[in-house]
Amino acid sequence: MKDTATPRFRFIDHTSDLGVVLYGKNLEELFQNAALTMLTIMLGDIPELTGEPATINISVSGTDLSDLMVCWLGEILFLSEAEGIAPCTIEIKSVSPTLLEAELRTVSVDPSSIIREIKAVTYHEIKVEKRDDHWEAKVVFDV
Amino acid sequence: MGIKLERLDEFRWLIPKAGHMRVPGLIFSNSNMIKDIQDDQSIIQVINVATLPGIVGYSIAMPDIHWGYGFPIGGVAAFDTEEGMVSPGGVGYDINCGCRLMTTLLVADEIRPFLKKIITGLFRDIPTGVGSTGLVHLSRSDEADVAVKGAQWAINRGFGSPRDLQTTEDGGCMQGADPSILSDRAIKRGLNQLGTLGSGNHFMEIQVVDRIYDEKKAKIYRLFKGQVTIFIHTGSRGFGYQICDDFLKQMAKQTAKNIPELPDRQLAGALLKSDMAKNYLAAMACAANYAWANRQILMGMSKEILMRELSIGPKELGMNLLYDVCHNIAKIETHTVNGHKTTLCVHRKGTTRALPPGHSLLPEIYRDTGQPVLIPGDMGTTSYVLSGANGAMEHSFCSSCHGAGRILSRNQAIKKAKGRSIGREMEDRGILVCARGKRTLKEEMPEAYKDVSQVVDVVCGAGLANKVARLRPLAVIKG
Repeated sequence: MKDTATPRFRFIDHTSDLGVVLYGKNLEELFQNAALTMLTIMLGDIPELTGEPATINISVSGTDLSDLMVCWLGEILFLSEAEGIAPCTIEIKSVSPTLLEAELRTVSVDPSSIIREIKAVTYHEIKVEKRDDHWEAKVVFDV
Repeated sequence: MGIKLERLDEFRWLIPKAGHMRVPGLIFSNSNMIKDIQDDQSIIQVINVATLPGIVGYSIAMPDIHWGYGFPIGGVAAFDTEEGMVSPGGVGYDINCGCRLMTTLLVADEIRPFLKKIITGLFRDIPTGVGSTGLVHLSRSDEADVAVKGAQWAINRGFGSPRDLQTTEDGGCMQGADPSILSDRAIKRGLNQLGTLGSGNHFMEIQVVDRIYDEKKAKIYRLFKGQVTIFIHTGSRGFGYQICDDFLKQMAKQTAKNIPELPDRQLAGALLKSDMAKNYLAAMACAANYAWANRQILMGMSKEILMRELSIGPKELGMNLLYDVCHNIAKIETHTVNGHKTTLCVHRKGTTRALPPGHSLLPEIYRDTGQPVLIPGDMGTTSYVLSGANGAMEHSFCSSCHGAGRILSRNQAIKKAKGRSIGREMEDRGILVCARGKRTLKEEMPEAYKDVSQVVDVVCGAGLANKVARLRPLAVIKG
């Protein structure tokens, strides 16, 4: 990642589903960007902070960084699709290869405002790896 | 990519066993379409599936094969119940995604002046799109009932008649469903999505029968030229997605320890004799039953809407369920392998069961014809009704293709559709389209799919099925 202007993700072509490569200068930023990217795909944009947002603390565990990424995004997906709440800000409090803790400020989202259905975050070709000066992840969503 | 395919005959290519493959790969295709997948990840996915424990015969791909996640879409894999596994990814998130085709007594030429009114009525009253909620709101105990009873639950509430069960795969109810093992999340997601179409490639279509290939079978299937039919494509909605997700996460963690050489984590599974596998199959059956209830309700709703918009009664409409098939499922079935009857777990991921004439699982009315095999094409061309043939029993564990199969990614399709109005292009072809979003139309544009007629010619040429009728779209609703 060269500078802060670098896009936080790019699409990769996948015949039936939707693949993205995500970037972050550290693991915290990578996981934050991953969730914000998924919300952008689903909602067209990150929800605006309006009214009195609720604060939610969540803790997600995984067997390694790749599993952690799938589980983390799965949590955000469930909140948005099933609970009708989406984060407008995400602060990653800590992340290790097996545990992530985050604080979300959330607002309600009308399910009809979801423009792209993501059925699930898949394990297909899942990858989280350190590059020279940044972290990258590859995630394929079932859409 | 360096993968050598051996051509066996006009419609079959072999991927010889190599490396960690336990069985060879077998692809049904033609010389034109095989080129499209030569550099595609889907052939790698056929090979990856061939490495899984307990796989029997071949890792099979149908001509609509395309790159999926884990298993290819258009894949069939059968596993020995003693040594093999079940893989939630080999079924897919949309458990029992499938097709339902209803015939009517209406003639296309007579309803054409009312088509706009009908499709507007369907689009207004059938919940479509992401996060859409159904008119049927379930309590938790109702949902458990749906998960156990399937289509029968919907019939008990006035959607359709008991005879519909005869022409629904498995009678619209997979045995062994156990709602007590479902997660709270799965139950929550299923509470308000029954009776919804969904989004993406899910659709409801009003069609006309424009060609009959086999008069005798068409008569038994109650099809005639010029007739109006209704086609539904949808599945188990968020309920199924969550069940797949819950089990895949558990199995991925275990498989990483037990099979470290697994080529793709999405292929994770559990040995069929394990409690984990048994629990998954019981949960999967809940989602399968939910999907059958969903399609049964959508059929009932469409019947009411058609009668209302045309001001006719049930006798004039004459709606009849020709058949309902699932194309994302794992089933315990008996097949003959090397001359011996063997119990197998057959995964169909984007493939349709195709029972040949005389098969014991066929309803009496279709005993002599073989099972109706429903193949939707893209929204601008045609769909097909086939009948299962003996070749499917010999070569593909009684399976056939499930559709046209994507050829363009969604991003490629959107780029190709830039500056075009797909809705207007469809109208120019004489097809009315109602969709929630313009992007859906672009992603689902006809060029995004293979030529369904070529796909069907392959499965028929290979002896897996036979053509009965061709259906042309008149009006489509999409999420």
